[in-house]
Amino acid sequence: MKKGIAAALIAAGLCMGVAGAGVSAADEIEVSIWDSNQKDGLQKIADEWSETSGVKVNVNVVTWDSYWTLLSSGAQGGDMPDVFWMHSNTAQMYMENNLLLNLDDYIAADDKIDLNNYYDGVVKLYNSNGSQYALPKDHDTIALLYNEALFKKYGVDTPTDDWSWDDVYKAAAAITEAGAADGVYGYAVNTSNNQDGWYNLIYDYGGEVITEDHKGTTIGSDEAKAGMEMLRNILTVSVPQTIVAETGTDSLFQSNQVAMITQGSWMVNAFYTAEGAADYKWALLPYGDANGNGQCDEGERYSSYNGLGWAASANVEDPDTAYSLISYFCSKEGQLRQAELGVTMAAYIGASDAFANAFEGLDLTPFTRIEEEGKLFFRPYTRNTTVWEDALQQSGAFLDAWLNPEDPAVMAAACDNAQAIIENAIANE
Amino acid sequence: MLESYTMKTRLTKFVIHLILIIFSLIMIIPFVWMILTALKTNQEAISVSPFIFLPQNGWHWENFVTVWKNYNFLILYWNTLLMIFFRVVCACLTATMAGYAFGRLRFRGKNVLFALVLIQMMVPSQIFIIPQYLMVSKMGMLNTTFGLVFPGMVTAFGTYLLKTGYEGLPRDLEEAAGIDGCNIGQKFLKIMMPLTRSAMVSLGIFTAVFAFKDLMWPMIVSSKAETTTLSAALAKMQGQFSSDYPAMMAAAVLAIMPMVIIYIIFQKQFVEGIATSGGKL
Amino acid sequence: MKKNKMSAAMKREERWGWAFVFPTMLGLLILNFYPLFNTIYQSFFKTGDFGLGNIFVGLKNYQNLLMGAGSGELYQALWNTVKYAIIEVPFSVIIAMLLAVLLNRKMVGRSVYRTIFFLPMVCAPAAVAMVWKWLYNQQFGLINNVFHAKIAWISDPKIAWISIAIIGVWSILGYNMVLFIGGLQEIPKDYYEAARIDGANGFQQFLHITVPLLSPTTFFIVQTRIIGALTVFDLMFMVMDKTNVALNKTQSIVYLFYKYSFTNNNKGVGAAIVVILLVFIMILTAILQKLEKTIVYHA
Repeated sequence: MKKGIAAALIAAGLCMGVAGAGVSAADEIEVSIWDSNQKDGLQKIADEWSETSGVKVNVNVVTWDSYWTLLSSGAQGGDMPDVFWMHSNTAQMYMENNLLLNLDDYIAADDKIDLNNYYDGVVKLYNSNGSQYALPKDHDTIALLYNEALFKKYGVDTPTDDWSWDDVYKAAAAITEAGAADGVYGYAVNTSNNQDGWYNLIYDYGGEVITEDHKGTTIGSDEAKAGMEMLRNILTVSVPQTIVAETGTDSLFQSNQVAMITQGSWMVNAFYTAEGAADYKWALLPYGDANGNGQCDEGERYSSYNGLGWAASANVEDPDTAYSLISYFCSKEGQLRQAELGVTMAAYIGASDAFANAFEGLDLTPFTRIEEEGKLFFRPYTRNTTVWEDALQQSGAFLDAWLNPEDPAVMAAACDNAQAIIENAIANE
Repeated sequence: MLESYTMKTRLTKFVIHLILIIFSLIMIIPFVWMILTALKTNQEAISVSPFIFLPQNGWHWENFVTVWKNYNFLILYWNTLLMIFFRVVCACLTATMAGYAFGRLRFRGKNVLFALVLIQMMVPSQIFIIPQYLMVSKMGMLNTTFGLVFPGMVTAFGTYLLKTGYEGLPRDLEEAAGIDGCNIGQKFLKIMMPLTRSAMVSLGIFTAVFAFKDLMWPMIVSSKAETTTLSAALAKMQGQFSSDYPAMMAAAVLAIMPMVIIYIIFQKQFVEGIATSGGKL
Repeated sequence: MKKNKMSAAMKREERWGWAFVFPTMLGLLILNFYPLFNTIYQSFFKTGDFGLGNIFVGLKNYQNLLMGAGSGELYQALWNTVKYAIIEVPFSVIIAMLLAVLLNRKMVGRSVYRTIFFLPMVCAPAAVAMVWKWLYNQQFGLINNVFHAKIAWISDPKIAWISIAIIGVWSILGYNMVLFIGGLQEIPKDYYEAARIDGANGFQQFLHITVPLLSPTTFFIVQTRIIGALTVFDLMFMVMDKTNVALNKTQSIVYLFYKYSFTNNNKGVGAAIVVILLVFIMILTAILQKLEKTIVYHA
């Protein structure tokens, strides 16, 4: 009987909760993002929108982990932010569960938005069963970041457009050896970030982390193994992973202890405003000389690309206003502003030159040139990407290889295990 | 003989103090290092050679101001205070009533009900968290003070503590009051409850410190910066600025400072309050 | 006792009793007993996206955790937790007992020492962990710099678990010590007088009087510390980043529970993990209760 009372009380509580939820005036829009580097720029663009719409916009930043907790608990409790970012890791799940506002009718009625103007991969990513659930916010590519002063100090030639990963290895080895007394290393591999790091090598050598139909992988193939073998060589002359685990490649680079890292275009502003920015230069992402002829052939230079999307909650108080903000962010005007302000590269094709020009005295063409001189692959994703991404970083997969870079057999075994892990995860989706 | 005896006690005393001082240093150094780092620039903090103990170019008190502003510590303090306040009030109120009933009154079902209280104390609290979270979520109470307070509204341990307190009071007190024509409720309010004040204080301090230290629950139910507590906010800061060491240390100092000051003022009550709380930590 | 035989006063008392325990019992029912069974119930389900559309899978979650693909991770986490306890419990108990014996006398600075040792108890573990993480930092940390070492305290899988256990010992030392002082004060002074007359030295007194008469306190502390150590989370979570290469070999069972339940949103598996922990702790408690009768000295 007591249980009955308890159940009744809980039920009563639930009813009250439902009745009490979701009362907020539409004269303010809550925007959630996870990258604090972009906050100021996006707030500025949003404020411009506010001037015409009269609706205030609050841009809130939470960390990556909290962001997804916030969103998924909001999805369960019916309290999501009004407008927010979507990412390739999770978009599929959010769209399939009807948690995002369907934008089809809005786009059809909006003369400022034509989906043909955006990078195709980003548009497709946020499309489920023929409906569009987010508009492309940006796109990003990867380049090689180096500290010119360190190269000079140790008498090593700085990276050029013709560098292969083998050249990276040689330069890294030279600097690591010469800098041993100062605790300086030639290279640092951010193993926990696949997108700006080791994925690119797999594609350079002809492997695929996720095949184009999103149903399989060739990470265990000989091609992929060749790429990871190259990475393994670089690891042997790079900062040990125990140090990277504590301090992070970005901080190591900024404290002048590492001469080269790879990074994505979304980080340009962070390095541009850092203390030692004068010494930091970007170079074209190196290619993998798979056939060994000493030059970059078709399909040997790959950069991953990814793009975020602007989405609104399916239960948003005032969908028209929310869409109006999204539309402004993604219109040609908003995209140009985003690039000019140096927030990120645009998702709008052709608007990225403004981004390269936003940083005076810094050559950012490596990010745009790779689109012509190399090939792009969309950041590998499946329906539930995080499951296998996490599993790949565990013992039994690549963790063993990160910790024992001296042993080629460990890396090869890790690739084989990764093949099984991904196939398994896809089967369970 | 006598002389050597005093020599020996002096030596013993010296050795005892030496050991205690060494351990005191081990306990205190992390706090000192926390404060010293908070006053440096990041360049100083990560300079390895030569190694710097004290801030060299000025003591950067402004680190505290920056962190205070960037993370809105005022709101964090307020959220934490509200959570502690409601948890302490709820826990003391429900526990003193139930403790009195279990300790002094006769009613059917008493033993069975008290057994439930004991069982709750034996089960690790992690097992309750998923459903508690789902309840808060379904009530739409994520990111609210109510959500933060929710699992601490009643306390099995406090009930047990106060039951013991009430049992220790002499019988005749109550009987005398009964003759004067007080009913049970008046007896409880006027005579019995005031006598268990020290147990209540212990429970209050224990509840407050436990709520202050809790990390997992606030992380789960309040993911927004405006609604979270000090502990959970620290976890987020670390994720966001993992390499600005002075800022992180300044944040850590700000987070523990209020409790440390209160502790130093009321240390006797604190030590007793937390020590009597026994197993629940 | 039959109803009609109850006096009016007894009926009144009964009504008061029920009224007084009602808020607490209702609270326990909603906040603890319903969740206890609900967790067990959920452990038989595969959680759907966003907690919607859960599918009943019977014992599959357990099967996977105990024998299937998840078993490596689960047993490793269990083993990590046990290893943590093996360091934390004995060291925090023995050092605390030593300090308590030293402090259990009239002396200068007694309350200052006590205040200092107890200090970590009132500090948020989140803050404590942040400082220790900084002290342990391989390149810039105080410890490596003072000792001119290059030890990867928290990212070398072989030693990270020890480093975390050291923080655990440091944090709980003062608390155990205060409990020991309480226990020491209950030992009658004349026992020591008698021993001194018999010519027993300090060490012999400690061994033959203090240790046995303190054993109920010791047992109580050990028991609660074991449970506490097996549910360690805060320190692990704060010190070990998700990207730390040593995470595999250090994460505790509650950390794993948190990861599955609230990061991966796989509450079914999370529930199964915590039920396994519950069973583990129950078995251990039963064993400890059996041991109490033989280990503890009953005067």
